[in-house]
Amino acid sequence: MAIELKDVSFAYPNGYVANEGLNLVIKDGELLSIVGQNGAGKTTAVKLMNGLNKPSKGDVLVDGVNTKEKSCAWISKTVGYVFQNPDDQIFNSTALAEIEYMPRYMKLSEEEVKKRSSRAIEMTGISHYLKMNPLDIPYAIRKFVAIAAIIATQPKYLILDEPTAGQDKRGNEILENIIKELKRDGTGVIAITHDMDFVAKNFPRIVAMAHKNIIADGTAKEIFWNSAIVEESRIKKPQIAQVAERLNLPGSILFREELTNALR
Amino acid sequence: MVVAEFKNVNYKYPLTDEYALKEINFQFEEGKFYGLIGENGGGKTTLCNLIRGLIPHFYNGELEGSAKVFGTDIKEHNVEELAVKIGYVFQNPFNQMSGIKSTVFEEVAMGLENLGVEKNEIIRKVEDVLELLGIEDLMTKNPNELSGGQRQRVAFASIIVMDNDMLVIDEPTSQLDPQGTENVFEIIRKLKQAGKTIILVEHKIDLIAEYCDEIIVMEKGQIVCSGETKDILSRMELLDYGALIPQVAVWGHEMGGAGMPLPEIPITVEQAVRLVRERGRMTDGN
Amino acid sequence: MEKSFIDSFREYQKFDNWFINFNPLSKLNILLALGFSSMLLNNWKYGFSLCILFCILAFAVGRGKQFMKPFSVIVLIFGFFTLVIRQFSVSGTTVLFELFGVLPVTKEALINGLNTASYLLGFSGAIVLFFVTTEMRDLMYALEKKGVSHEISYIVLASFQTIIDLKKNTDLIMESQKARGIETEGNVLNRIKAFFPILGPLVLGAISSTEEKSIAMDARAFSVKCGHTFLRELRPVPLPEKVVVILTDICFVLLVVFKIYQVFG
Repeated sequence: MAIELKDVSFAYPNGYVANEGLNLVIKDGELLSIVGQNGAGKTTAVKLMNGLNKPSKGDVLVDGVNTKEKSCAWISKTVGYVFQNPDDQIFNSTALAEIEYMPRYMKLSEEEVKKRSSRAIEMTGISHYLKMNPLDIPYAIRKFVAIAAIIATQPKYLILDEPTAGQDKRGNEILENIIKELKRDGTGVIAITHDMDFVAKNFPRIVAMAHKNIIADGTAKEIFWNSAIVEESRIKKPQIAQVAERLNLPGSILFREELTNALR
Repeated sequence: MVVAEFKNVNYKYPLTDEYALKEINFQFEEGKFYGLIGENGGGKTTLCNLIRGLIPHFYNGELEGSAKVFGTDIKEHNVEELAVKIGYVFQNPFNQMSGIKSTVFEEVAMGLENLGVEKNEIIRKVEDVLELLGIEDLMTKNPNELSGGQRQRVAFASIIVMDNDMLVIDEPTSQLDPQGTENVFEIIRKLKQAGKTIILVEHKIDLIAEYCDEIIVMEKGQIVCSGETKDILSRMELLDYGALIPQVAVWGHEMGGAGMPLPEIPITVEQAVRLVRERGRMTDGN
Repeated sequence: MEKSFIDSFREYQKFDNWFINFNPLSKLNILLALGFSSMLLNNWKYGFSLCILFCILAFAVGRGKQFMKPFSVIVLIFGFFTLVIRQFSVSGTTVLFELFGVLPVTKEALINGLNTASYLLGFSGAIVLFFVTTEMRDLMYALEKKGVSHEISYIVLASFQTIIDLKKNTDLIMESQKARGIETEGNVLNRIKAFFPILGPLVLGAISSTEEKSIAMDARAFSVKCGHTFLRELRPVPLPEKVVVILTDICFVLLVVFKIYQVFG
């Protein structure tokens, strides 16, 4: 089963075309990151995957179901989506209530609600904040409350829109842990981010977007060591790769250990 | 010259038990560019609020110790005037537009109108600042219809035009892409050249390493260490404080561990490249 | 292009024609006087002539479309309803014809209805014409010059952008809630269930952005107490314009006096 984009274009009601001719297959349990400049069509593309945007041309299939035939809320049981700004999502008066809201809305048994919520809380490391009013929780941690609330619905694929924005070292570590844990549970993760070190470290597959379309699809080494792609999608190479490039070292180096070994 | 001086400052926000700032002792010097880094919730924004007089004038709470800005105790400042003397740019570009001006030119001019500056003087200053920041092409655009990155540059222009000597900049790039981030840092570089005192809160440690003169690291409301950028950002213990150091610095330490120490720890790509070459020459010489 | 744009601020703002060039307060004065005069006279011939005058004026100054759009709706709704209601509330004797063969339409009720409709339309026409020929920022500029505080001016002007922003935010929050699985479409129950998840973030977002905005505006000297200058300036009111305004007001006062005399005399 998979998310499949088949020659998909999308235009907003005002006529602005944001995606043109997208073709992409995301398999079960895959970790994929979408990179590229703002305005390249990244967010529009992921909104096509959960039915928030319905294609103007072409088809999007989620586990074989055409998104045109179902509501976004229905598809969200399979494809969860965490928006960039947690404040667009959170409305309950405690973090715990926010996390338990969707499992309850889905009419799961109380036992299942507790089980799913505690798994989500454990993954996101927010157990200290459960009784707090979300407004009193620092913004960066609020992002984890929002993520936990979606994880608790146990979607098969989880979309994260700029999860790294504004995160500190600990926040990035928690995110890495979330991705690992989801991977272990067999959940696919699709993340939009501008943090290239984070991408190189955590995502085996990268999709680079520019001018409304996908311009490259490959591993971190293939993407970051192809200067045409880096240039066109206006991404910033990880620091270690920059050093290796300046020193003309072979082997598409991305990580510190590789750089050390190359200099032995 | 010292522009802001804090001695044994402790501060608690209203209705909270924990100190948001603990034992702050620090002097900010004129014309220096400070990078304020550390964990979220560590007190970075609170310190910015104190410097700008929002504490104690806007947020009450308990303030202890001596906090002086421009030689005057923070409590005695006229907060409206202090807000203008110390420019402020923050994270969300949308909330920094006035929402009442229909072109970028007028948006940038608003602060000067409020100060009662003569019209031809306003026009001259706005033209200058748009040129300085390279955003002349935006001047006839509606500020409410720009992208986040463009708005953030307009926000900078709207503050810089008032010719403040000191700027507090709180996470200006966290909602921007690499191109937008680069544009913002280009602006900050120009401000530094113009001799402004700058206090920048930022998570993008590579850029901090490249631009700042001094680093202040905060954790749990305290300043845990501070000093010259090169000295601070090459320390591994920053990671224990919940702060980041550049990847090349971590790598520099690992090179030492692998028995191939570099002459010093690099904090930028430039330095790393230079140091590898130097080391190459040294080993060749042996 | 940019040079001439910048230079446009050095002089007083120029508008495409004489009527729009009128100072907003002069315009408001004249149009209100005309609007109230149609109320005082309560005569359909005068009222409708005034409406026709407004239409001609709107087209003559290039705001015909903008004027007709709201005005025609007002004409249809107010005009039609007043005529119908008056048929029921005013008992007349001169039956003109019988609607559907049963409802009598009388001359007295018709004229009464026309009179009422004409003064409602005359008055609303004046208001609509004012707003399609005056930019809000120019009105606020003129009011600020007369001593209205710039805080009030800011609130009025910012409210337009605030409404646009609120709409955008609502859309975003709706998407966010849909994306987590809350049905916002379909039956009434679904919609009611989706109410809090949308309203909550909207209100909280508005509060926090207001706080941020006020801090941002203070950094731009919004609260500094001193005289302001204006980058964008309207011309001072020229003598002929003053004369027109004063003459209009004299006529209006005479009309009021005449009306009082008619009622009590």
